[in-house]
Amino acid sequence: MLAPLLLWLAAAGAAPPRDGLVAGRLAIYEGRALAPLRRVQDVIRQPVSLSLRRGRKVYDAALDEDGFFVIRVPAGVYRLESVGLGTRAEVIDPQQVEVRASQLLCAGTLAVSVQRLEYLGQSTLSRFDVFNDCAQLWPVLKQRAGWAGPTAIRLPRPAAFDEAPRALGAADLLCGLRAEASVSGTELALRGWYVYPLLSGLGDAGAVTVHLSAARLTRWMDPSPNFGGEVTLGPGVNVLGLLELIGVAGVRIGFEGFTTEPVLAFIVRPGSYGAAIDLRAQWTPSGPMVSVGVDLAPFFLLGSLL
Amino acid sequence: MVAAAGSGCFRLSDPVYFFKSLEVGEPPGSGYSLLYGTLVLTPGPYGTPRIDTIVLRQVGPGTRRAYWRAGEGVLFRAFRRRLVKQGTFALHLPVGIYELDHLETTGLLGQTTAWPLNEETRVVSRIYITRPGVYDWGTLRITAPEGPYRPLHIETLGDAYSAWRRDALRVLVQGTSWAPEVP
Repeated sequence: MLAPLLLWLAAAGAAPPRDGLVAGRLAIYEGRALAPLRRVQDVIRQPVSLSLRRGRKVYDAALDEDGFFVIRVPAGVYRLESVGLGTRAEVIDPQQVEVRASQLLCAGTLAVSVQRLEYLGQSTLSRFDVFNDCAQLWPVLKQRAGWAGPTAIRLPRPAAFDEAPRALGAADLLCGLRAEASVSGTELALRGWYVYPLLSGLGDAGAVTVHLSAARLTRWMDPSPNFGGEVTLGPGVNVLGLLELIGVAGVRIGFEGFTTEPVLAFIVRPGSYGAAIDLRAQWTPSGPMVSVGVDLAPFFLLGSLL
Repeated sequence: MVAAAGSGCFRLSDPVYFFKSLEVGEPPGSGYSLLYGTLVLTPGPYGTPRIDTIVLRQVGPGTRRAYWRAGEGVLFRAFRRRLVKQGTFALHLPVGIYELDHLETTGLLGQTTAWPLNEETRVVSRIYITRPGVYDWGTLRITAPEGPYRPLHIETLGDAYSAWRRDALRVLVQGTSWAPEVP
């Protein structure tokens, strides 16, 4: 009894996903006037088409002269990225289209608006909208698809531009390590930084970064034993690739001769990402302090030499 | 030597990098295309600038603006895929519209000199990537500026998908997942 059930479950699991249908209407507007597809094709002298993509596979829709389309594809999530114009295309902001097995889904009206039909194919002067007019479209869509089964409305939704997430390799991550030595009067800080790029790469103009630092503090002129620590965290931004502006907050930890207290610091760092000068203004309950230092990112420098 | 290398005069990996071949690699995602192109620089009255980075701008869809670079000025370049060699480059790009934005030369202290392109002729370089595949941009001839602070001028040689470029591309994609796209 159990064996046939397990066999059936295994077969069901291994079976290819069942097909589903997506249907809707493609409408191209010239200004505010709806342009019949035939006129569009006459003007651009290219056939208009619509397709969905999943991975590297592209599925073309059957598109009639009224703009109604039906696509039969395996169930899954697809991307709608362009309206085909023969050898060219009007590329649109990517949309995500979900297809469910054994269902006819209405995608509504996909409207591409251009000031003049001649601009189609330039992909920079158009506007793309999705309208939910499925209530009016259903009879035609069912007839075009030859469908009497279950239906649902599922409009395309904006999809992420980049399909591949940003990948930082070991080399990129190691470049975030930075060592700094700075002096403020008699206080010497040896600071280790880790810089993580949130937006853009390290050292790129406009890069937004997160900075984590740990420091060893000493008073190098003071003969008595003294030693403190410091941990801070904060954001940074690279301005024109010429300097970094960093704001951090954290705590100074007193071990010998230092007071444990919160710290807030603002750092201007002119130079390149690999090596720069650190001009630091910081505030603690004990009072404000200004320090000057130099830092370098050893892996970044090594990477730029290799 | 390290100081001289750090100033951008040369890199320690130059002797190895010189012999490193252009590689197409594998796409970072299934929706990516391979753009293959060549830039040829003809000297102007001020000579030919040494170009080491090609910067493309994504101008569509819609208001999407992003920059894509193929250059030698990358960290640990000796251990990475070579994107550009002798003016020929191979870049992975998602669906969109691209144009050549500017060229760069890495110089003293690692600072870059940007070579802007003539606004009117930049459109000549525009390419439409409408679905994943291999796209040949052909050869673009770039004329060096006629004077300081003047833009470069581009013209296409119209040899995209020519038999000899296809042969070169076929060799390049051999053994990669791009190979079936270049029969």
